Amino acid sequence: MSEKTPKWSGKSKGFPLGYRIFIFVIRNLGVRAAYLVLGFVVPWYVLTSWKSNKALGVYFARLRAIVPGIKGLNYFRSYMAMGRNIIDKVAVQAGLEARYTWEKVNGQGVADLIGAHKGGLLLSAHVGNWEFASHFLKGHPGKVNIVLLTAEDERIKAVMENELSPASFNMIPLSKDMSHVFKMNNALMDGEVLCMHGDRNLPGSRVYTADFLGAPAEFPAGPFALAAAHKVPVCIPFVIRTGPMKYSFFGSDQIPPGTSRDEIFKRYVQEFEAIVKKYPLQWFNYYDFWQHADPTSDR
Amino acid sequence: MSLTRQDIEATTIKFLSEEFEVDPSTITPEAPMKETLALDSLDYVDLVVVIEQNFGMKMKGEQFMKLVTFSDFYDHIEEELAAKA
Repeated sequence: MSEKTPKWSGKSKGFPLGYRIFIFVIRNLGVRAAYLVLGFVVPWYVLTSWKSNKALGVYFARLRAIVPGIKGLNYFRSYMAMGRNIIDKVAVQAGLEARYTWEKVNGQGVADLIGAHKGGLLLSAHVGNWEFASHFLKGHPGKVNIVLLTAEDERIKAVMENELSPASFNMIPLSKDMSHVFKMNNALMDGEVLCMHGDRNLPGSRVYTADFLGAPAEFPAGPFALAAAHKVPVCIPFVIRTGPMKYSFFGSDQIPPGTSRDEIFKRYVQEFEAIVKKYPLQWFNYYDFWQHADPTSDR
Repeated sequence: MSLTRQDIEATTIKFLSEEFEVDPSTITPEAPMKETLALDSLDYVDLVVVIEQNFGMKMKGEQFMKLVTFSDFYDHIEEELAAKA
């Protein structure tokens, strides 16, 4: 484990006008029409997103080196996957949930964790469509709080909140006034569950290093240290688009309370790597994830 | 049990260096807490827990905003412990 400065800018991809256009198309012409529009938008991204393309190239090279015979990795398919993901998110939040197929592959560990009312952590990643976990966990007793990075593009969040129905889960933004410290601690003490991603570093934050897809990569230390310090159970869930208009929920077994942060981190990296290898185009990562763990890279 | 300033400093250096994996010698009274420990927003949630485990007191998020150096932190712990006594 080490401490270095990370690279992700903290901004999500996309822009408010684009989101508004897609919300309009989905509402008035349907989901498939929005996919069609996407097919015209994505080439523009392929041609103009130089930095993202470069990062994707590094990611694809890692995958090709570690998964022999892997096929279908290209910029167009990657951006299409991300676009479909966003369209689906908007469509479901706009009330078109019934048009999708929902499959729970393994969710008992997560359901038990939430239902126990003894606090817990769900550690996910920017893989697939985590927001759809609310669909799979609907009806389960217990409260889930999503911890939001403040660096996510506020304009996009504002558009999503204004245009769509309220989120199913409670949101706790990380804020400069430190109000999140009280909210997060209280939530865990009240037996609630916190959910956060473990695959994005913000500048200046502590990091842990582990081999990921065959090379050292940095992960934020916070989520793993938090789970260990609070001695709460942890689950690692992902919601993946596994077919046309179909989403599947994958949840790990529970990592018991009292597990060391090193062990929690190790389990997370294993689960994360496994899902990325299986669904490589659904990790929406557009910066060089390995850059800062590479001693030969520029800083 | 009352803790002296030296006890507070020694305890703090021990648990913070272990929790945040920093060289204990970097935790000096004048050193800035945030930068020395490389604290991000999420780390303060962690910090509340380890402080409670070591000093038996629960700090609020906004209290951290007033603490710049480790010396400020020791002052705060001393005041809180004195108020509890």
